[in-house]
Amino acid sequence: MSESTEQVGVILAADDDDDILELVCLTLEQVGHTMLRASNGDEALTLARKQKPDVCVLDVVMPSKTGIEVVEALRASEDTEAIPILLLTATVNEKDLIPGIEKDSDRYMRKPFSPRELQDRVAVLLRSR
Amino acid sequence: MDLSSDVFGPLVIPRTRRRTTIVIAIAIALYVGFLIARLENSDQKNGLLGLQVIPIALVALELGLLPGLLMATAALGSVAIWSVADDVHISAGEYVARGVVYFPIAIAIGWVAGRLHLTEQALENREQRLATIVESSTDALVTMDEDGLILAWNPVAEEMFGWRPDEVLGKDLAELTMPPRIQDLMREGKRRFLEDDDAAMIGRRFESRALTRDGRQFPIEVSISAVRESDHWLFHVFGHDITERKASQEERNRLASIVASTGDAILSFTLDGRITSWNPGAERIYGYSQREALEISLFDFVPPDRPDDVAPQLKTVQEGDRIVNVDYDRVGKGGRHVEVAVTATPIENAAGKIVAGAAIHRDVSERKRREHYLTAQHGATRLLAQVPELEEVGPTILPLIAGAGSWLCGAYWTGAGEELHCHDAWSAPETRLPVNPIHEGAVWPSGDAPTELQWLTDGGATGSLPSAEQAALGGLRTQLWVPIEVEGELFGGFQFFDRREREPDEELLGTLAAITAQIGNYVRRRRAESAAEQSKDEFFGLVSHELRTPLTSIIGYGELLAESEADGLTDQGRRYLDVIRRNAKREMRLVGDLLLLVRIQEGTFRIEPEEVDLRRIVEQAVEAARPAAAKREIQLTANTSSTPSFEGDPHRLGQVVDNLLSNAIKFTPKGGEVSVRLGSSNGAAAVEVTDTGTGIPEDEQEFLFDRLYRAPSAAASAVPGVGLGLTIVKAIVDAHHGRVTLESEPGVGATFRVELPVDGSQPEAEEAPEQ
Repeated sequence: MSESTEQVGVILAADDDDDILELVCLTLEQVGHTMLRASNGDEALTLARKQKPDVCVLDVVMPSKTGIEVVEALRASEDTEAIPILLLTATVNEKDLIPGIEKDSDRYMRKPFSPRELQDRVAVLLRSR
Repeated sequence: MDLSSDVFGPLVIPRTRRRTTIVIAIAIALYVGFLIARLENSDQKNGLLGLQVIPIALVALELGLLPGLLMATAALGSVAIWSVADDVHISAGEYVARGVVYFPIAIAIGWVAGRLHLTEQALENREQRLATIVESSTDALVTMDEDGLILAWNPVAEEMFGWRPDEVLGKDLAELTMPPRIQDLMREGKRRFLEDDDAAMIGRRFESRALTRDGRQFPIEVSISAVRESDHWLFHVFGHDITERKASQEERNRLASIVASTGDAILSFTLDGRITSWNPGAERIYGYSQREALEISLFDFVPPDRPDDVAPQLKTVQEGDRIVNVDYDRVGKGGRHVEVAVTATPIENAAGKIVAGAAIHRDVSERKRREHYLTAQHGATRLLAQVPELEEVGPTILPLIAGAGSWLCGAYWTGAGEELHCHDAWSAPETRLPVNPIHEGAVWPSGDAPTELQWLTDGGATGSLPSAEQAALGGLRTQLWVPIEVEGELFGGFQFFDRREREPDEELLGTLAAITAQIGNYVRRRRAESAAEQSKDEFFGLVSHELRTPLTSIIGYGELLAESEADGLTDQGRRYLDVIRRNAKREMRLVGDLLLLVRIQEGTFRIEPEEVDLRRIVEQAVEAARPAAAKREIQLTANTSSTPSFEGDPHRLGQVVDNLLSNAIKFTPKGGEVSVRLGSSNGAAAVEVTDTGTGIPEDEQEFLFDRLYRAPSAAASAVPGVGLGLTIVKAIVDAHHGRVTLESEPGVGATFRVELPVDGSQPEAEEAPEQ
């Protein structure tokens, strides 16, 4: 995969673990994206509604709202339903948590991830818009 | 001989030649004498000639009618000659008068003589017959006189009593041949006959006991006849040894008393099933009296809801075969239910033709009932030991215990909270009409359900059980409710119905109580387990998350550092960074393996199938293993050909090859070889990983794929690892419907071979039912 910079966008990253949030932002900023940061579900939802990012990269297990709940809320509104979302999962039971996205391998990624892979996946989502 | 003289004594003159000669000589002498005397003494008129009747009578008497007539004619002739020759005047009238005298005398005497002759012959025949009878008689024949002394003793008597005739003649019969008590009876009978004219003993057959010479007693049938001989009586005693008859009679009596006293039903029947004999045992088991039984047939004992099983029984008997101890359900008088073990056997007539059958029916109801209860209990225990889903408990146990209790129908209620639901309804398979008043899905407020066992018969508290009233109306006279409690709360219960009015059966209730207690315990255990399972899931979810989150940072930042900041590091720094990254990944794998293992153990492990290129997976795994191989100076070679692509989980298949390779490298000493081959044939792809390591002894091979198994040889050579690798390999390969095999020679090396079906049809087909 190429280290594509042909498309850059505004990416919302949400994770309650600061280090991982920073890792995601660093990785994506490396290829020129603009990052919005949220450390819990509510924050992520508010930011997403306000800023309409091009792609959301959401942790699944977060305080206040889980990544799944954020996805459901975004899908429920016309304004935000089209935003591509990449879920980062670290749990063993991720299948149970993401029933709707189970088969959609583009839309979730296991932790730990390699920075390169994250960059590629975001690029794919940007193109798919 | 003696007999004939007894009867005809003085009349019989035995005729001999000598006597005949003498009689004829006398007759002729008299005739000639009288003739000469008349000739000499011519003055006398004809008086002397009248004496001629004497020789005529003698001849007629001795020789019969014809010689008599001849003699009479001769006498008349001599008179005629006389009258002509000597001029003696005998008138014609006188001549006729002489004829009238001579001839009737001759005729009368001749007739008497003829009769006597016949009688004599008859007597001779009779004597002979009697002698034959006496000689050949199968009875002992003894004659005694008024004093009881023996006068005659035939060969049978000799054989029967052991005394020879010469030893017994003139001895006392009673003393010789009768036990003391009988002797007295005999003497008394004889006395009565002789003195009181009481012939009670005479002319009748009676059974008595006799004594042989050597003192043995035996049963005898005796008849006595009395014969009057001139002034005294003779007694003829006929005796018949009835030892055998008595024995067979005793045997018959013995059998009859067994038949009468046994608790088993003993009956006989015609080949079309009609009953022809019926003992008291049969009466007790089936309730029919003998008179009633003789009017019904075996077919009447088949329970009305069951198929006919009598015709096959009759056929078996008719074909000459026996039925030995076969169990049948029967129904007796008033519908009473009996289980019997039947033994039946054909009866032949004298010609050897099978004309009937006889059978013994043993009442095994009690034993059967116990067996049923025991079977139900074992069945329930076994079922619960198989850890069924709670949903399966009712439908499996209900028929088991309803059948064991011989109920007509039943229901299994279960539920939580406000309502019980009828989870399953059951009716006896042979029931022809739908009788169950309870239907699946019926609802019953929990508050109404008794927490105590209830056994209701007609007139019981019909309102307290669901559909009780309806059941009673439908002729289900007995109802039973057995509640199931879990931790003091009503969980559900079994309900049973029967048409018969049944008394509470303590044994059945005990069995049911045990089974419901078992179910209660099982439900409680399952609940606890599922709670534990849930918390375990949560725990592993948490562990997974908590372990992976820091690893995400370690690995992610490590990679960032290596990619973008490595230039600022010294060579030493870059080596340190490699160590960190490598170990982070190793830990990551370990966490992954542990979680995978948990899923395998739970049975929740599933692959995530997609199109896979096995060659690429194998090659990647080989490349990834190279550093480790190089470090141990192991020569790692790969020989791969492309295989058809198929549906599989690339990530998991990668793990399989990774694990096999890492094992091979671990167990191969420095300088050894590890080779990987990939090929395909017959719709299967095969990956082989061969090493030149220590190998695996045969006795360890079978445990190799067990979880956490570490070969003793591995422990001995301090090879690191926790024993997860092969378990995971096997689980993943199994999930792909493939198989892992192993060939190994200790000291030479080992080859692990993984075969995966690649034609697609098999995994799809087998996966379908699981979903």
